[in-house]
Parts: sequence; structure tokens; C-alpha cells
Amino acid sequence: MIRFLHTADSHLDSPMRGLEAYEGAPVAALREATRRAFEGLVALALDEQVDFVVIAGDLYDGDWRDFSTGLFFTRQMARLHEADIPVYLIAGNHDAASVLTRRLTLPPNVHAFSTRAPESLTVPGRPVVIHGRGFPHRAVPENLVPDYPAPVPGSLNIGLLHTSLTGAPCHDAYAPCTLRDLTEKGYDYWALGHVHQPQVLARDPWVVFPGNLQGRHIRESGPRGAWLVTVGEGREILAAEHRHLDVVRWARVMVDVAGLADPTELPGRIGEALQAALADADGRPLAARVTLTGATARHDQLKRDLPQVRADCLGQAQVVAGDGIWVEEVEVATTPLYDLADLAARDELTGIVLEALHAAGEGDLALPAEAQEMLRVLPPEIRSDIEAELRGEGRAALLGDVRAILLETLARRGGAE
Amino acid sequence: MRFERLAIPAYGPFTGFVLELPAEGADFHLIYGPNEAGKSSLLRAIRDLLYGIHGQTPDNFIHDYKDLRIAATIAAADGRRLTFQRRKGNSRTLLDAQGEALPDDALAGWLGVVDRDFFTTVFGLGAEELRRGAEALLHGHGELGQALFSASLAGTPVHRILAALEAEARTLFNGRARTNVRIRPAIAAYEEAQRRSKEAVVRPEAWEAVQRALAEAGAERDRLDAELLARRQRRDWLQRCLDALPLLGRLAEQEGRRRALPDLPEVAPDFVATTEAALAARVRAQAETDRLRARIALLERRVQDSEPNAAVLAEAAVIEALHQRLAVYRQWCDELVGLETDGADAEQRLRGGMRDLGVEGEPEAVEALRVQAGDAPRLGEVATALDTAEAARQANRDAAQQAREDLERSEARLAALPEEEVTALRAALSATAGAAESAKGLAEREAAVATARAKVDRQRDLLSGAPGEAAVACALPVPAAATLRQHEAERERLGRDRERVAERLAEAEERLRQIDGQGRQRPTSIEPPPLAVDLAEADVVAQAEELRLQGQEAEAARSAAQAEAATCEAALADWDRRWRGLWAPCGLTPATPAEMLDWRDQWLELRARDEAWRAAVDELARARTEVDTALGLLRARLPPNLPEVQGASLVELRALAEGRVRAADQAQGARVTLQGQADDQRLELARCEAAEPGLAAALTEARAAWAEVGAGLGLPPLGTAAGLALLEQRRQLVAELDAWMGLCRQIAGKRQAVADYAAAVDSAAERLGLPVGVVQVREAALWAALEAARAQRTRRDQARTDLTDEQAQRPGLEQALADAERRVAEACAEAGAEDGVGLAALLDQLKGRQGIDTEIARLREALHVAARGEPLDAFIERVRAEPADALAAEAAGLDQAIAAHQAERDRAIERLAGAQEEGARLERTGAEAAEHRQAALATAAGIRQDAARCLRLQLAQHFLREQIERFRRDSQAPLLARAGALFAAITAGRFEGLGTAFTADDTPVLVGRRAGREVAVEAMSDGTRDQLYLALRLAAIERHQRHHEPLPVIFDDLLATFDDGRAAAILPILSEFGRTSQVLLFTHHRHLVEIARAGLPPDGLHVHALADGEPAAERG
Repeated sequence: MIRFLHTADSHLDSPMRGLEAYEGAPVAALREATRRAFEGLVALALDEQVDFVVIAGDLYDGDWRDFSTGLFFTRQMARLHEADIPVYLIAGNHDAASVLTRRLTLPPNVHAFSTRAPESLTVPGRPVVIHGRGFPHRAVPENLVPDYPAPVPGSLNIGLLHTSLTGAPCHDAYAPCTLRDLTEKGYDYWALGHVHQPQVLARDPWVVFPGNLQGRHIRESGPRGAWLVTVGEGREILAAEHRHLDVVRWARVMVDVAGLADPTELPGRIGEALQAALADADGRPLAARVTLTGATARHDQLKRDLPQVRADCLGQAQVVAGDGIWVEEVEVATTPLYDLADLAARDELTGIVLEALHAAGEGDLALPAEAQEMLRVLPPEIRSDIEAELRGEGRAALLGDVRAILLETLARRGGAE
Repeated sequence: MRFERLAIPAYGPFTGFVLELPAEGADFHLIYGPNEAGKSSLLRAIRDLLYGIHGQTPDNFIHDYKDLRIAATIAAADGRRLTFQRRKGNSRTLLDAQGEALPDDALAGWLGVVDRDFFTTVFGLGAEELRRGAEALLHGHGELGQALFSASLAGTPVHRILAALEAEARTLFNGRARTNVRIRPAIAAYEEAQRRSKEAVVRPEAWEAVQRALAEAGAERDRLDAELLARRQRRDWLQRCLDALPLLGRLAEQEGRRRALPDLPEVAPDFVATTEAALAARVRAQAETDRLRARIALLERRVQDSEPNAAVLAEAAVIEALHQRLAVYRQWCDELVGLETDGADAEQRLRGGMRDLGVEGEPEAVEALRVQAGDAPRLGEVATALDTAEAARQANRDAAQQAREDLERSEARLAALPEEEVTALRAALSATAGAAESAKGLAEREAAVATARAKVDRQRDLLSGAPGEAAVACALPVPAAATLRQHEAERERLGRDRERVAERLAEAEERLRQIDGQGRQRPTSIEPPPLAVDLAEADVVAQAEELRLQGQEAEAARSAAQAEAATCEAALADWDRRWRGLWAPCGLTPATPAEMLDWRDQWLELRARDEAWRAAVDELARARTEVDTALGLLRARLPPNLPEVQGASLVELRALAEGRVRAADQAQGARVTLQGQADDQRLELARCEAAEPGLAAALTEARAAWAEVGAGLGLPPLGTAAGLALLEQRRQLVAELDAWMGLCRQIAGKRQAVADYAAAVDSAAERLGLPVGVVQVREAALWAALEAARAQRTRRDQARTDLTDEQAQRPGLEQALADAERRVAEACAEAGAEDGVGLAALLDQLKGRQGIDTEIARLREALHVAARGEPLDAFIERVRAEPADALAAEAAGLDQAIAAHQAERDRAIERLAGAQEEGARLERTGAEAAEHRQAALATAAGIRQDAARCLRLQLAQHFLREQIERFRRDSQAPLLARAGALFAAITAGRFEGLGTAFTADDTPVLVGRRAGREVAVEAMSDGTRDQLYLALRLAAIERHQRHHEPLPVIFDDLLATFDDGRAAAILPILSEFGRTSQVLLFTHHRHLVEIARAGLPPDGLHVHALADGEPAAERG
């Protein structure tokens, strides 16, 4: 029986994004999270005494030039070397751009595939042949699969490839190929990398994206880890098990506030939802985006009092888990109970405000001078995020928030009535 | 929609209430009712009727929730009519006239989209809302858009809404401010964290340099270590030789002495020690045996000499008992003396008391004076009753006399008080109070006018380039601040564009230079590689091609940047032309926008100061008029014959009038007080006179009781104090008798005990033949004899015990002596000595030989240390082979060489440690780089959230301002015209209407027009501002009603704060309003009904009196 670990996209030392530091936030838990997750991978390989490990690219972040990241990787590989566990890796698009890939001296148990042409490596003492090729450049627009060697008869054939397939959602095309290209190649297992969401595309043969080791932002919510694959004597895949290795779990926590009669009940509902999410994280610290949903008469009030709602969320996070939950963002995605047409017809003034907001949804949106000044001083990467809200669907949501704030402020006559 | 009829079967205070609201004439209904008549309940009932009864309504204090009912008949302008009821519940609460359920939305067609809150705020108006609306006008500085918007939205304080949005936005971002905001400081923190991250990043080159330094330092250290080891080994051998040489010398000497010794018998190794031990044991055993024998003889003599006195020991128990009781005997003797003295004193006091009371005979005769237990308290009670009755009667007589005297004094003071009527004078004082304040401030106002003028002149002097006349300067058509800021922003943007283009141009040129530099080191041709070329060569060619493409891109970027630079310069020139044109109407040559904004601020300040000067002049004139009117009024109210009235100022006249009013008030107050006091005094006198007969009868009864009890105790007829004192003397004499008799009994008992003890002592002394003496001496002799006998017996017993112990040791000591003798004899035999003397000499020789052997062994043992495991004889041989004299010099030379070598090695190790430390630092720094980057991103997340929030607040504020302005533009003309007409009517023509003016920053503001002049909102009195707001609200309601199905308008005590004149001016307007919409005016002022009836035509209103929940309709 043969056992191996399949991982990819560790993006070592890649930071957690979108988490604003605040008093009581679990800063320590998130520090070096990608390193801790990678250490977990090595510990899993040692505990399970696997025969080898395959890494399907993107060890590093392309624009990250800190050499200590590479040194960390070599130290971890040295642990596997002491246990006589070989490692096979290919360069992904990020690695191709990384200075670390070119300058780092790897331990003897680590075998990096060529970036110029596909090659095949045999695992010593095992009937296993691994075929692979790394990315020579950040962009590889051509299909690499046709050039991969033919399967070796009598051996377990594993294809190691960094690819976006035909283009995964939210990902650019890298070494594009079709699922059929892969399944017809004759290999037993395709160990893919690049797409961060873990998924099994096929089981005959196995085509697997392991996902990344550690979620780094809210779009990478849910469990993250590596695949532990068990191969039978007849080289058939007996089991493929996704082992969770993330040290911090990203989660979207939905709080239904429909029918909420008493606003003082809101913190309690938030607390219950956070408690449930925390239970799903198997004891890991949680980086959570709290989203309030449902149709409610307090829609405008929630939008207007967003800072207070956020304070309630932080307070509940403290109550539920102490420093075990980091609230990434609080999102009010509720819907109002009123009908905008009725409001517009009721009185002239509300009507013209709503009409102006509606008109602002199309055409040019003139920003007030103070808003322009604020945008001017923002760092470019943040400014682009904010400016994105002024276009397309972002603008509709933005104007929806503005409308709610205005209606609530008018209804409240400016103060907290 | 209008109400034709309101019927409230059960709700709040109403039971079977019906209010008919006829439509003939004006649909204006004045509903009058005193406080608590149910007006507020009726208002709630109307709202609950239309929108449902609230779940926790408080209007169930008479009728249960389930019984609450409100009904109405409503009619629409198109003739529709509906009669319905409302009950309390969660659904299907609308019922028709017969009680059948109607759909929940049955009123939707009548109310449209007007919900409860909107109905309450827009179609309801009370005095409080009026006041708040007027204040909002004031706080908004009359800004026209806000005023119209606010009035149209039921008084919503727009300025407060804008302020709330702006305040929150400015906690996040406030222009260039860096304190009390979040975004700018966060950006600084973000950039700082990024900078730190970049600084902390470990470059591969740095790491590789550290690795190289590490390897070189390690190799150097290893080489030095090997050389140092060889030298240390030689130095170590030399040290071993130097350590061993002195020992080897002493070893040779001892070996020579051993060889020189004569032949001696070979004995066991321990022979000398065992033989010396045997000789010493023999001496010790002999000495112990001799000492024991002498001790036994001594103890035998001590036993014979120590026999005790047996007769004394036989009396031991008796003597001990007497000795124990001796202290008690002595105490009895002392107590007996004290008792006899006390007895004599007691007898003397007893006999003295008998003499005082006239009792004759022996002390026992006193027993006849003893009083029974209950008689004494009874006598005390009777005496107290008698004393109380006498005191009460005397107090009553004193109080009557005091009341009589006080009454006479009060009547005399009342007769002396003066009287004067000051009501008219008081009213005049009240009417002139405001004028007095104005008079005090006249000088201040005159000074304020002068100061304001001076400020205007100074401010004018600060305005460079403006006309000299302030009024002309104020009228200049200066561009709006927004326009200037737009120009400034455009100028800044153009400047930034120019800088950005310049940077891009520089970057492109720098990039071109870099590419040119790299191109010189690489092949520039891109010949296709031959098939046989290896892959490394292919990479080089690919990189060259990439370099060429990058060069092309850089060239294109430079060209684009140059084109953009030209465009920027043209735009700047165009801006400058427009900028000068903007200021041409003012006749000014403009400086930079920032400077002209400052100039404009100064110009605005001039306008503000000019306006302040004009206001101060108006205020001064008004104050002077007010003071003259007050002077006339006060002179008319004061007596004309007073000399100080003529020629007095307002302040002096008011002081005179106040003095007269104060004196009259004080006299009136004193009169009321004195009358009250006299009434109280008369009441007190009558009360005393009524109590006198009862108090006399009680005194007579108490005196008879006292005489009866005294006789029963054998007392002579005395007063209460003397009788009680005699009884106390008798009680004390009986107590003295009891004490004397007790002492006599104690003295007899003590005398008997002393005699018994003396007899026992004498008896024991006689038996032992002790000499005669006093009791205590004989007892001491007995105790001494007993102690001596016991000591003698103890000494004898101890001697016997010691003798037994010593005799038991004797056989053992004699055996030890015999054994020692035997061992000495055996040693002589083994050594061949004839006797003990010969044995001692032989022992001395044997000990000398043993000493030499021991020293030789010790020296060889010491040499083992230097040999360090090497066979000793081989080591000694090697050492002896070394040139002993040269060893020290060689060692010293080696020490110097090793020290120099060691220093060199330490330096190599330092280099190695430095390289290792640098490596560790780089690893730590690398982790820090990631942490700084994480911190930067955490900060960025906060900035992103804050910026998104701030953008929303800014947009909300911006939208609201824009729509306020839009509403102003759209509705200003009709709304302002109608509100102006209403305002003129409400103010009874004091104002001609409303208009607009412009502030210094071109903001249109609302002004009233009076006598051809504009009056700002801030300059209006509170009452006028209330009227202005009412006019705006009425105009806004009219406007709403025109565009929607009209709804009834309800005014709740609207005119509560208006004086009669103002109320009379408003009522016709409300009546006129009732021609188009139904108007319900609630009031609790009866006089308002009279004013309405007097001022309106008969068909101009309907009056409904509301008393105790029952209406009474009447036609106006």
C-alpha cells in the first residue's frame, strides 16, 4: 500500500486580508498562519508516515521577496528529509515570478520539475512515476498536457500540473486545458494546483484540486488543507481524504433579522450565529464576516447605525469566544419592508430625494469635493476598491446604503429619536 | 377626505360621545374644552380610528380592551362616503356600521400612502411643534432651501440632519485635519507599516553573503584549532615533566634511606600497632582496678554514718497537716481583729441613731420601728399627686396673665399701621421693566454702534484693491466660494497632472537608460537558436528578446508622456485666462485661488461687520423710543405733588415707585401678621379661664389622701417633704440594727477556730519533747525536725545504691587486666624479645622502617597524577630522558605562543558568531517583514471600511443638500409667494411679505419685508418667527393638499403662546383654510372662542364645546 500527500497553493507568508485590527482581536492567532498551516502539513506527513509528498505549485507569493520565507520552506523540507520522505514540486505562476524559486538551495529530498519541458521522476523503491512541468513564466497561455509523457505501464502514474483548467470562476487562465485532456491522458491521479477551492473533478481517473492550505480572505472561507491519498497493491486509489490543516477558519456568518421586533434582541441573534460558526470551525480561531439578512422594518436603521451594529458584533464575539473570533466585516444585507414607490408618492420631498438617488444610479455620479479629496489621499490600492463601488453593481449597493442612511436620518429628524 | 361625524362609543374617557362636523360654510371647527376635558384623548382617538388602536393603549381605564370602539363617517371630494368603526385587535379591526368586518385595507383608498407617523407630523401642528420649527429656522440662519424643505417636511430640522451626517463623516475624514479623525492617521500608519515591511525584507544576496562569511569564518577557526591543539599537547607534556621532577628527586632519596636500614625480623604488617595497643590496654586496666577498690571502701563508710530519726518520721503526717493549716490560722487571727473593731463601730452608730429618734433601752428596741414593704411606695404616690395638683393650678394662673398682656400689646401695634393703594403704580412698574433694561444699556449700545463702525472701517482697510466706500465694497459681485474652490481644485489637479506626467517621463527615460545598460552586456540579435543549442543559451536569447520588447514599451511611454505634458501646459494657460475673466467684473487682478479665497473671507467679514453696524444703529433707536414711553407712564402714576418726580430719569422714577410699592406691601404684610397673633392670644386667655375650677377641686382631693396615709404609718401631721424624710430616717436605723447583729455572730465563730489549732500544735510538740513556746514557734520547730530526718534518710539510700553499682563492675575490670597481660606476653614471644623493655626498643626500629615505605608509596601515588594513566615506571623513564634544565624555558616560550594563537582564534570565533548572529537576525527580520505587511493590511482594512462609510455619509449629505436646493428652485416661487401672503396676513400687515436675500457666500436666505426693508430671520422676535414658521407650514400643507386627496388638518392648542392680537390675525386664515380642507382647532382658552366669534363671519367657523366628554355644537 502506498500513501502520499497532495497539496498546492500554500502561498507562504501571504498575509490575511481584510481584517482590521481592533482591541480584543485575536492578532496572535493569525500571525504567520500560512507557516503554521504548512508546519501542520509536514507534521501530517510524518505522523501518517507517507511515502512521498507532491506540491502542485504556488509555494510563495510572486511579489514577496523575503528570503526568510524560502529558508522556512527548506527547514520544513529538512524535517521530511530526516524521515526519508521525498517531495516532488512544480513551480506555479506565483513561483515563476518569485525570486525565492531561483535563489533557494533545496534539500536533497526535494525534486523540482523542469520548467522547460515535462519530465518524469520515479519515486525510489515504489512503483510510482510522477510526471510534471513547472511554470517558466508568470503567464503560460498554452496547454501543457499534450506534451506530458505517456504513462509508464505497471506503475502508478501521477500528473503534477498547475492549471486553471478552462478558467475557473474568479481566476485567470493559466496553462489552460480541459478535463477531458486530463482524463484521457491515461494517468491514475492528476494532482492539480492553482484553484484555491478544494474540489474533486473526477474519480476515474482522479482529478483533484486540493485548494490552498490556509484561507487568507473572506472569499477563501471554509475548511482548507491537503489530500491524503491511499493507493492499493493494484495501484488503484483506495481512498482520498481531505485533511483540514488551516489554523484559522474563514467563515461567512449569516444572521437572519427578519421579524426582529425588539432591537435589543439583535446582539443575542448575532451571538447565536457566531457560536454555531465557531462550533463548525473545530476549535480553530474564526475570521468571520457577519451578514445581517432578511426583510425588516429596521433596514434603514441598521444601515444608519452600522458602527453600533459593528460594536454589537465585536461585543458578541468577545462574549462567545473571547479572543477566538476576529470580526472581519459587518455587512447589512437586509431588505426594507416599505415600497419605494409608495414613499415617493407620499410626499414631494421624499419623492425628489428618491428620484435623485435613482437618477444617480445611471450616468455620471458627481462626487462632492470632500469625497474627491478623501479619494485623492487614499493609497491607490484602497482607492481602487472604493472607486469600484462607484461603478456597476457596486454603485447600486452604494446608493442603496446612501438611501437608507438618508431615509433613516430624515425619519429620525437628525437625532436619535 | 373630511370627517362628517365622529362617534366614540367606548374609548378613553368617552362613552357614547358624538361630534357632528357639518360642512356648511368654512369647514373650520374650533373645539373648546377646559383641561382634562378629553382633547388629547380625542386626538388619539382620531389617529387610532384611521390607523388602528395601539396594542398597549392607555385608553382602557374605563372600558376594557375588547370593548373599545371608535366610529366615523367620512366623505371624499368626489362624493364618496363611508361609515365605519374601529375595534382593538391584531387583524380585521375595521367594521362597517352594522359591525360586520371590513377588509383591513378598506381605508387605503382614502388615506393613500399617508401612514400614521406622516399623518401625525404633517397634518398635525401644536404650539410645541411651532416653537421647534421656529428655532430650526433660527439655527438654519434662514437658509431658504432648508426653511422651505423643513417646513414642508413637518418641521424636520434639516440643519440638524446635515450636521449629524457631517459630524459623523468628519470623525472619519475632515480635509487636512489629522487629529480627531480616523482615515488620515490610519493612512500614515499604513504607509509606515509598508515601509517597515520593505526595510525588513531579507534579500537573497544578503543571505548568501552571510552564508559565505559563515563558511570562511568556520574554516579559519578549524585551522587555528588544529594548530593550537598541537602546541597545547606539547605544553601539557612539559608541565607534566615539570610537575614530576621534584617528586622523582624525593623518591630517589627515600629509596636510599631504605637500603641503609639494618636487618629486622619480619613481622605482620600490623604488629607494631597491635603490640602498642596491648601495652596501653594493660596500663589502663591496672589504673581502673585500683580506682574501683578505693571507691567501694568509701561508700561502705557512708552507709554506716547515715541513719535518720525514726520518731520524727513517725509523726510526719501530723506535722505536714499542721504546717499546711498554718497560713489559714494566721488569716483567722487577722480577720478576728478587724471584726471586733467593726462590731464596736456599728454598735456606736446604732446607739447614736436611737438617740436622734428618741428611742430608749438596748439596741433590740429599734425593731419596733420596722415598716411593712408596701406602705412606703403608697406614701410616695400620694405625695407626688399632691405636688402635681398644686403645680398645675399655678401654671394655669401664670398663662392667663401672660395672654392678657400680649393681647393688649398686639391691639396697640395694629392701631398704629398706615394704609395706601398702589395697584396702578405696580402695573406701571411692570409695564416699564423692559424699558428700564433698555435705558441701562443705552450707553453700551451707543458704544457698540461706534465700535461696529470702527470695525467696518478697519476691515475695509484690509481689503486690497476694493473701493474705498464700505457700502460699495460690500456690493461687489465677488464670485462664490464654491466657484473659487472649483478653480483651485482644477488648478491643483492640473498641477498634479503636470507633475505626474513629468514623473512618468522621467521614469520612461530612466527605464530606457537601464535597458541600454543591460543591452551592452547581452546579445542584441535574436537569431533563432540552432536545434543543437542547449537550453541555457535559449534562455539568454529569450531574455534578450524580452529586453528589446521592454525597450520599445519604454520608448512608447516616453512619447506618450511628452504629448501629455504639452496638453497639460495648454490646459494651465486656459485656466489662467478663465481665472482672470472671473474677477474682471470686480475690477480686480486676482492672485492665486488660495489667496483670493482668503481675500474673499476678508470681504465676507466686511459684509458681516457692515450688517452688524446697521443692526446696532436700529437697536439703539428702538431702545430710545422705549425709554421715552416708559417715562410718560410712570409720571402719570406717581402723585404730581412730589418734588422728586420732575426732571428725574427713568431709573430714578422706577426706584421712587418701587420704594412706594414696597412700603405699602410691607405695611399690608405686618397687618395680616398682627391680626393673626391677636386672634391666637384671645383663644389662649379663654382656654386658661375655663380650666381654673377643675384644677382647684383636684388639689383638695390630693391633700385629703396625704393626711390619711400619714396617720396610718404613725407619722405626725407634716407636709409631703418632711413626712417622707422622717420615714427615710426610720428605715436607715433599722438597717443599722441588722448590720450590728450580723457582726456579733462572725466574731464568735472565729475565736473558736483559733483555739482549736493551738491545741493541736501543742500536743504534737509534747510528744517529740520539743521546748515550750508560742504556737507559731512550736509549729516551726516541728517542721524543721521533719525536714532534717527526711534529708538524712535520702543520703543513706543513695550511698547504698552507689555501692551496689561499683561492686558489680569489679569482676570485669580484673578480667580486662588479665587479658592485656596475656597479649603482651604473646608479642614478646613473636618478636623474640625477652621482656617488655626489649619489646619497646624493637618497636621503635620497626616504626622507622614503616615510615620510609609509606613515603615511597605516597610519592609514587603522586607521580600517578602526572603520568595520567601511563604505566608509572615507563613515565618515570620518559621524564628522566628529558633535559630537565631546559624544560622551564621551553614551557615559557610555548605559553607565549599559545596566548597569541588563542587571541587569533578568538577573533575567528567572533567573526563566526557575528556571521551566525547576522543570519539569525535576517531570519528574525524576515518574520518581521511579514508581520509588518500583515499590520499594513489590517490597517488598510480599517481604512477601507472607514472610507466606504465616509463616502456614504458624504454622499448622503451631498444628495440632501442638492435636493434641498432643487426643491428650493422648483418650489421657491409659488411657495414663497403663498407663505409671504400668509405671513402678511398673520402679522396684520406689519410685514408686507417674504423675500430672498443672499449671504456672503451666495446662499439664498429667507427674509421678511417690512417697510421696504429686509428683515433677517435672526433679527425677528420669537413671536414673529413663530408666525413666519406657521405661514411656511400652512403654505406647505396647502401645496401638499393640492397634489393629494386632502386630509383633515388638526391644530392642537396652536395659538396657546399667541397674544390676542396675533390670534385674531390668524383665525381668519384658518377659516379661509377651511374652505379647501377640513380644519380642527383644539383649544382650552375660552377667550379664543370669543375672539373667533368677534372676528369671523357667522359661516366662518363651527364651535364645539367639549365638557366631560360631551360635545355641544354651536354655530360661530
